[in-house]
Amino acid sequence: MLSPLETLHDVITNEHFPEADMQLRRGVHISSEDGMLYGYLQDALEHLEPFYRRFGAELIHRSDGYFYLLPRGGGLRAQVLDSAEMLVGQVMALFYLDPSTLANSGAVQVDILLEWLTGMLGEETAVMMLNPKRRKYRETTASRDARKGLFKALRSLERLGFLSFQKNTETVYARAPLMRFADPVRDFGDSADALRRLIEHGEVVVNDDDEDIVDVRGERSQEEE
Amino acid sequence: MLSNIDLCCLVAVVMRGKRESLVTYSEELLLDVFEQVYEALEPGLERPRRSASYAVERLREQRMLARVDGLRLVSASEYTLTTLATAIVDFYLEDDRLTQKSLTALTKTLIGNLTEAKQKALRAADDDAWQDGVITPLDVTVRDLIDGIERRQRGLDLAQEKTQQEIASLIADDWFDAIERAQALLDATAKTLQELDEVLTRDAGVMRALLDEMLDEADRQEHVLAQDAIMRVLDQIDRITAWGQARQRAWSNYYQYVHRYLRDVVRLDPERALSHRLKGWIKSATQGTYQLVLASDASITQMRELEARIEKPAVSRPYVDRSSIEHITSIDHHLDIEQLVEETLRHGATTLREVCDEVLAYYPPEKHFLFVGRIARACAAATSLEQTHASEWVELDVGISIEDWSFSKG
Repeated sequence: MLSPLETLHDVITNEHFPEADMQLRRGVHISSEDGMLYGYLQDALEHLEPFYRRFGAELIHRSDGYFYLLPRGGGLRAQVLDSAEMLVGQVMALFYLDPSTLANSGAVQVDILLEWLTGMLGEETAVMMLNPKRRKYRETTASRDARKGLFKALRSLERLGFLSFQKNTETVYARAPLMRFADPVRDFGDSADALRRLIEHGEVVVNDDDEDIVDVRGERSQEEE
Repeated sequence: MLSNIDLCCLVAVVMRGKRESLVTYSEELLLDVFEQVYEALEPGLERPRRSASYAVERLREQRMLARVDGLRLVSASEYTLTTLATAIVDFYLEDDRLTQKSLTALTKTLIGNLTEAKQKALRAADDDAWQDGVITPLDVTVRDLIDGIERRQRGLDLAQEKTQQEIASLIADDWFDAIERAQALLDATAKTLQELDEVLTRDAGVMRALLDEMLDEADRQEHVLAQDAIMRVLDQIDRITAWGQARQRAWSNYYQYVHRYLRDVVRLDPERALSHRLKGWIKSATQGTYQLVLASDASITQMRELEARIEKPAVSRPYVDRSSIEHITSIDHHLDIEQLVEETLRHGATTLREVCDEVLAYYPPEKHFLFVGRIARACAAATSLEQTHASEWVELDVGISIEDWSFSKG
């Protein structure tokens, strides 16, 4: 049983603080599937919000049931997702909303995901979007390239807590943080206005270039180093 | 591969057999039943009797039907269903799911059987008594009862899977209007699993206690066969108990997932517009223009656990008696030996033996053996060796034997 978290000292000396802190700083989304860690953040929220504000970051708790740390231009470095991760995240959010995944507790087969992507975008567009650094489409290796790009994006999203892989399988579980990808369309007003608000709030950035995960201040993040 | 129509033929035969208490089926009867199935499922078929005949042949090739008359072409054939066919039909027909009522009935019967077996175990005096009173009932009656529970557990697993699909279909079809019904299905299954787990946990404890008493008696009498039989039943009981806990845990996860979905997705989007808007957003060109922002400071290192400051003792050498070191150092010196050798030679010593006896007298016994070599080297350096034939081996005063040399001043 956790000790009561009445002061910041209690919060920081709690056994869950080091892991929660490191994960949040790495950009990981901690959701109710994370059990004790999520429970700890719920209990510690009152003290951790001002704590992270001092680092120039905002600890956000969404009503969908997850936490994440949003850099606010202070000392904390930031990263952005690349176009492949954005695409895969949005499609996984769509699967999360689909009642057909309910029967499997949110499980989606990677092959079905790939089929959906190529069916909706066309194979060439899907391959090019899933492999942002690729300049030329090659039909002979298209299928392999699409899978490779999809897995890379899925693994990256897994590291950030948006989804989880079932061990030793090609099955991914959609998690609540995927709803961040649906943010621009969650309000029933104009999507462009919603996007503008998200930009103002620092939740998203507009970027025409297809860069890999990069620090928004121009430095490459550790994951890429 | 068994087609749907072949499966229906088999099911129809089994139903007919049950109704008329048939053990075997004549070819005529099979053809009649199969023909009715074809007429029902494929109304436009021109010659259903011929299709029925092909179906009989197909099912024989697939080892679903076996001829049992042995008369071949002499008369019309008699058939029976194989074990494979019976198992397949049972799978589709029998609704053997576990309920609190059926589980309670099975566990009570099981406890009754185990109590009787325990009493016989405590009275068992020879192999026959163990075999008839304990091993056979455990291997046959008790195991059949537990198999019955396991079969019904599998039935409930299938039912749960159907419930999950039903919930998904309800929400897909009726969305917001399906919330109450989906919630009711979730709650009903959760309640059933909880009740089953309670029965299993409670009665499994009683069963284990009875089996433990039997095992103690079997251990005391060193009856290996009885020990094995009891252990097998204990394993089975562990398995059915673990099933209850695992299913309850799995259903709890599923329950939470669906509950969250109903709360966060369905209730907040009664018109089901979000999926359509998101799909449109993904298809549109704008989706590539924005990117999510996340924290990225992975450089922080994990803090050490707090611990009380420990005063470490200063590093120091072990204590050594310095006076003995100085003594050894003063006499164990290369120059001293050379000086002593030269002095001895100056005083007229002409053999290695004379020099060794003179010089070694200045040193402690543990150094004698080592210093003989150094004395010989010093002698060789200071004199010329007069050696024309094999040298004689002599014993020194200190008890060491050496090959003696004679010198002339060099």
